[in-house]
Amino acid sequence: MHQKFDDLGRFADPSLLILTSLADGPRHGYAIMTDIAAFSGVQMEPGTLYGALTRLERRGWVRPLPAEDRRRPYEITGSGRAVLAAQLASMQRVVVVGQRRIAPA
Amino acid sequence: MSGLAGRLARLMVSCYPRRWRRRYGDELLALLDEHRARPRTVANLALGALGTHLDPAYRREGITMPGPGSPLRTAATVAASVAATVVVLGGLLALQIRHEQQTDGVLTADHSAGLTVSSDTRLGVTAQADGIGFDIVWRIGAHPAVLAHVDGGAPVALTPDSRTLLATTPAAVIVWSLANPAKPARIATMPGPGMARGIAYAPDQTTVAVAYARTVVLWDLADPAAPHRIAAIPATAAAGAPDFGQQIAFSPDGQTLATATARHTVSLWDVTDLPAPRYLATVGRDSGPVDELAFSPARPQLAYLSDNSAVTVVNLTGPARYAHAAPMPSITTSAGGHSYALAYSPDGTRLTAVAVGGSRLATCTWNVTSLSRPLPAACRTGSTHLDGDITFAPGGTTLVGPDPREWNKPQNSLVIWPTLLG
Repeated sequence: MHQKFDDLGRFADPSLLILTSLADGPRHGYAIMTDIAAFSGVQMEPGTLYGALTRLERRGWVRPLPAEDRRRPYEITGSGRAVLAAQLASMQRVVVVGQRRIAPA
Repeated sequence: MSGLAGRLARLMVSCYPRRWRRRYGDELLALLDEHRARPRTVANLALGALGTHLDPAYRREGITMPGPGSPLRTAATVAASVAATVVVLGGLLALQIRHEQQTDGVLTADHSAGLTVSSDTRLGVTAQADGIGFDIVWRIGAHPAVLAHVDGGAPVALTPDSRTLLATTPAAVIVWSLANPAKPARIATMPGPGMARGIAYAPDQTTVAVAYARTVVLWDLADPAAPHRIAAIPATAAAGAPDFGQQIAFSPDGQTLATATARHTVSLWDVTDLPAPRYLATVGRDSGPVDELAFSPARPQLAYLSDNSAVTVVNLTGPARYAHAAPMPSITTSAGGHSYALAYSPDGTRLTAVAVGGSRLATCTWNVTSLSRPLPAACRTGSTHLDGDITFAPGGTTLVGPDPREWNKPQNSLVIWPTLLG
């Protein structure tokens, strides 16, 4: 049965996508959404984005920067970077094993 | 359609809790100026608003839907149907969110103001901030779990037998019984002049010293439910100590109390006669605010770690008290702020300091058997996942700290690094 990759959940985790988007520099909300769409194909909605941003900010993994004309950029923190690196490393292991196992013998 | 969806999306933003809107509302509306709203945008925001209302941080406010008198009559009808859907979904979501809240957000950057660990390293307590918020009681070890929340903030202190917890509020230090760690019971209050800066248990497990800016108060907690105030040491009694710092510790024999001073030195007090503490001396040198303080368990010696990663070892005997400063490798952190831990080995021959910050860790171990020559050090640096306040468990061989690696599983976040000292 066909399943969308998104249904795996973890690979489309909004927090993961947002941290990945912020990893190469601060972005405001709309720029995060378009960047995520560009690199992952996930069309994140504003409610999801801001729900995740609220949680990430509370955990200290992103921090808000001064607003620029109502648009507020966010940047990733040191601990946010550490969490992202650890999560990507764990996914990398899954990718390596998965690719090896589906490769033709 | 997109015009209507756009208006409904804005309507949904007004359904978020007021306090949330004050912080995020404007930028979210700015985002909607750029984003082409679709029906799923509206539903997504409705769910977001509901989820935020269920978030304990915003839960106290009611949901304010616009009344039927709104000019957007059609909009209100659609909104009502969305809201009805949301209510059904909400029931399911609430269970999920409630479950998450029990474990979520407990070891955030703002929940690392204080950390204390029982001597068997089976119980730990983390504090959210200085004197405010809540503390979390953790079971650590093979099956880590959040056991309970108690009102109060840093500083926190556990009796070595982990049966009593002291937590700080702005007006008093609260005594909690942890006879059942899953159900802490508030049993007494220790009022003080302002908010406590530091708390230390004496080796007898019944005497407690609480440091305030201008005084240190000694308490007898032989009966934790009935604290008895023994004496107060005014800061002015110590030459050169106009103000007390956060670090405070009893010597292993319980006869000496060491307090950090605002001049970045350490003042020593003879507390052999508890009702009449006597000022002894101020030792050490100013190398930045004192971040950690430790007495040697076996020698008349104490060490402190300053904010700039310098460790000072002070010999407490002999006519010429000797202070020896040893720098640690400095680590840089983009997140700002380091956490430190300092401990002697149980036999008192080695001293180990750890600094953590920005995913980097630096640790040095010095042979402190003789202070007559520069201390031989074994230092190393590396990367780490530890983030937030770290501490050595009593005994000085086990380092404990929060590990944010466990994505969405904060119950596993308090980790033990038993091999660090080798």
